[in-house]
Amino acid sequence: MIPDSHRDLLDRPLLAMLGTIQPDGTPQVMPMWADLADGLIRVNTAIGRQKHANMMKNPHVSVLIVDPDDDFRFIEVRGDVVLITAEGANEHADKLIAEYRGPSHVPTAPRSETRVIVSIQPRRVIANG
Amino acid sequence: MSRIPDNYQDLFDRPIIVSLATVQPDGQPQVTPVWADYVDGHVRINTAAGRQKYKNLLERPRATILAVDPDNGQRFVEVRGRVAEVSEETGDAVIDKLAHDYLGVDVYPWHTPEETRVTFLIEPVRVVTSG
Repeated sequence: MIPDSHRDLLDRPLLAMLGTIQPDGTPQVMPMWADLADGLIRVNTAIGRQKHANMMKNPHVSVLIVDPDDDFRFIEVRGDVVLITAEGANEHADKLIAEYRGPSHVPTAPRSETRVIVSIQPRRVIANG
Repeated sequence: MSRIPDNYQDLFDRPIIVSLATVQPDGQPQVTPVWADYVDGHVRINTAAGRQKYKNLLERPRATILAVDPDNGQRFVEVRGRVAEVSEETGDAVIDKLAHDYLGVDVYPWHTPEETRVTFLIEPVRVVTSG
């Protein structure tokens, strides 16, 4: 569903603005690291965070990535969370850290929080520019 | 009513593309890039009448705006708020002002007779800062 013309926005280490819905219906937007695997957008968070709680309750999300080199070029992916899993989540977090901040930033100490991979199935894609 | 702390107001004073989240009729969030500024305690955004975000803001007057520092992705402010005012009267003047901030021009270059510009004032209800 992600057009080839805008796939680079998910392949490059760009911030993905993740919109979720709070229990009271207000949207929440947070900057996230993201990647694309088997057609699903994946983000990584920790159990107990507000966005994790939001996505457990309401799977409808939206992800916006804007090209920092051209503000008019962006992709918005509206979709549904289809899987939240702790399996492989530490490794996924390490992969994202290496991509976004560099391999030297990957932590060596055990994590005190439980990381989860959130997989988002795109339902509607808006590509601009 | 809440306010944006002084040490984060630069994220609205600088020409940073912010992310505006609204709620679609089916409950799905919509997130789009927009220009914004912060005036008299309100975040101002401007769109064209008839657009999906315009309809969303009129029908479900809650909005969340995220501004991230382009020089430091971990520094950001998220403003969750409610639509306090909708104005067609200030629509053209505000888009021209934003075009000045973001493009360095005096007049928004894409005015068309068919398009009505509309200004939304978002009153912050909760402000989250990081970094």
